[in-house]
Amino acid sequence: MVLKIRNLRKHFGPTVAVQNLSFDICDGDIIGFVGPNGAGKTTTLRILATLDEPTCGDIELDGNSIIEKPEIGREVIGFVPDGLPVQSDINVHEYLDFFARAYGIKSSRRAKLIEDLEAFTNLTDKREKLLGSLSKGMKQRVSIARALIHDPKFILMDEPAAGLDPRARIELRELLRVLARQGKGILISSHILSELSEICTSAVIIEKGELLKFGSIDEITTHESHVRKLILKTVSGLEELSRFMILYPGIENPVVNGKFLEVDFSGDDTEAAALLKELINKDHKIIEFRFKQQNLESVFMNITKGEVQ
Amino acid sequence: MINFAGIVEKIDDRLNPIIVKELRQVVRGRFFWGVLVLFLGFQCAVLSLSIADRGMSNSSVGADTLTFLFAILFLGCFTVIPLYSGFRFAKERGESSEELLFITTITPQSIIRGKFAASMAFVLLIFSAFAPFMAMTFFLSGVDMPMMFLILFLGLLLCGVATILQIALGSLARDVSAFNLLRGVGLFIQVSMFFTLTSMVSDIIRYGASRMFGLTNFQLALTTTVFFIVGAGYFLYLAAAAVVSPAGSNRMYPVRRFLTLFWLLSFAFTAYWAYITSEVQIFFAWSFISIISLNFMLVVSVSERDYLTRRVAKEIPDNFWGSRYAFFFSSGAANGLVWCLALIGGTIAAITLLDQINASYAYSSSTLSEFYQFAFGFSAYIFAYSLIASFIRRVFLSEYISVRNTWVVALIVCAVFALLPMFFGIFAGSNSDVLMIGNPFSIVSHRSRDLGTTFAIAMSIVALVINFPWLLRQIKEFFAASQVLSHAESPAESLEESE
Repeated sequence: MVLKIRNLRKHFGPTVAVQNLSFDICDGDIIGFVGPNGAGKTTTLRILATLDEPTCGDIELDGNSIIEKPEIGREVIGFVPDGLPVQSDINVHEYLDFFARAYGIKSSRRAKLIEDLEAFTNLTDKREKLLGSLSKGMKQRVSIARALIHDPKFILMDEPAAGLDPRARIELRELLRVLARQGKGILISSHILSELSEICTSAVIIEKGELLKFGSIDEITTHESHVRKLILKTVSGLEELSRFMILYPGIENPVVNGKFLEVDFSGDDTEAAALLKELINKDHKIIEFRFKQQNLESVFMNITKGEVQ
Repeated sequence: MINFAGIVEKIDDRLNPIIVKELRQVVRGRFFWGVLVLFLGFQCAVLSLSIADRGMSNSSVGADTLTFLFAILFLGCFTVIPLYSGFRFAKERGESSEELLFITTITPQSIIRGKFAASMAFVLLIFSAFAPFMAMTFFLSGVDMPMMFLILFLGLLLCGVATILQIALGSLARDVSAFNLLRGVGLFIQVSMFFTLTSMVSDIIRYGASRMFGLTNFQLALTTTVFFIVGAGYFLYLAAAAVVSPAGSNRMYPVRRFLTLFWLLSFAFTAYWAYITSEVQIFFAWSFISIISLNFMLVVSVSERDYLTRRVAKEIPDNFWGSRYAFFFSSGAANGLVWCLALIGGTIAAITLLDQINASYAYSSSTLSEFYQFAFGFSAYIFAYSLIASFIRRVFLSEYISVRNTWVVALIVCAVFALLPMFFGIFAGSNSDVLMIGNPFSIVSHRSRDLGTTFAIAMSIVALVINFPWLLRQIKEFFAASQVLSHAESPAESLEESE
């Protein structure tokens, strides 16, 4: 099952919040939704959750437009908004029971379903606690349990890790991995890019409502930059290697970093192979030759300007 | 053998989730138990004192006690519970916590119904707790049992209207300032209505129900009262559901359809009253209320979105009459304006036709002329100011004021036109009638009526001319909905507003 977002655009008066956004969410994907504040992430997520209607564009699911038939989308999409549950005078079990009823789940299934969800999200021993007495991490679990109550195929999460302590974040990460293994497609917006790189299979980077990058994390981090950082290690001396490298075409800024030599390499993979062959021919005794992997954070900083609409 | 578990399960599945949640939340809170225990304590104290007083007091001790019990009952059920329900809903609206329900199978109507039903469950509980104490007043003196049940019945209806009114006010609270303002308005309405209600109940207990409803047409008067109470309550329910409906939905459709039906039925009631009482003046009361209400809806209409959403578009029938019918009732500023104007025209036409058809209904020519001037003049003022406000907001203030707050601009425009000439007059030392020209209520005065009506009509024409492209675009967009859908894009100028 694929959720296809096509040319999504949303105006608020003269302000364009989202423009021509297109990407797909497949089952089992964990997609990081990245952008500066005011980039249009929440607006996009709200449109995907059928809470708002786009000015134009469409969201397709098995050939059906969920803009025209939001009820189709609501059956397969679970939404975890950026705000935590606010009802303080209701306990965890009652809160989940309320949403199960709201989704029309029959009482014959309801009790077992909620019990299973409470177990899955580690809330069993908190089920009688009032929401007002829970920590942020626990409230986030309740929010996720609520989003899962109708067994959606896709889960949209708006800043789910915001305000969570490191332990709660790690637990959330594990929960997301389990959900992805169950075949659920997850779109998660977050500012904590290092965490997204760890769990996401793909990323969507937007700024001023426009799509800047969409692809797998590897694709984005590997091909984002024309100049790549090459790391070399040799047993024949770094100084000698550095002198050779500085004269080689396409190489700039050689820097000795401990036992390694780091250089900026502007060639493609074929040229890299030619360089390695040349180094071996010149008897440089290379024992390590690799490109430094860019992380999502550096890609994000390189391609966004921090502008808002 | 009856499968009770199965029956309970079926009932449980059919229960509105909001009722279950609200009852759980309220029962858990101290507020509910506090109110219940306090009121029961009050009743015990009042009844004990009345019984003790019985020997030495006059024959109306039962009536006095009943009045006091009703006052306590209405304090709880007409004032405290509705205010509390409205407060809770306003708080939830401010936190947007009800929004998540829109991605479930629950509808905005169910949300309002659930809130209302949960509050009414408590009202009924308190009513039932009061009933035995009230029945005991019969054994004192001066209490008429059927009248007591009548008050209880009407009181229950009024408590229902009060509850849905407060929920409707609560539905409008989207930020802190709106929350505080609306709670203030709600408190004022409820408290002032409580004193009016208590005074009416006291009158009915002392002098009988005929004092209020008359003797000759008691049942009809009662039916009319119930009709208007229920009608008002249902309108408020639909209005609240429309306010909480998600952006893009056809939220005004049920409201306008109901108001049209209510307008027709109220006309039928009025005609029947006029027939049996041979009083034509009642038509003027009906037309006056209709014109005022429809002008209020004019201001609401310009505060609606001015573009066609895809969710509305997909509901438009593709046949000629179906699409005309849909246009009349659907959400949208132009749709609302056309609907209001049509019903205002219908009200004026109804009065004119009645005058023409039956000589016994003929009014004096001066009365009819005054009615026409009021209907045309007042409507022209409101129409002009609403459209001018819409133009100003759209062209100059769209970045600062969202479409849903156009009514605020309309109020400011009205105030500016009404007050500016008067201030000018104060400085210039003039006291001419011309200075009242911008005030919609100037048409009430004989002296400035003609001038005011002329001014209002001229302003309406100007407002219509400057807004014509905007109105025409909406109408064209609506009837070309199928093309809009196939292109999946609204016209560029129909920039969406934040809702």
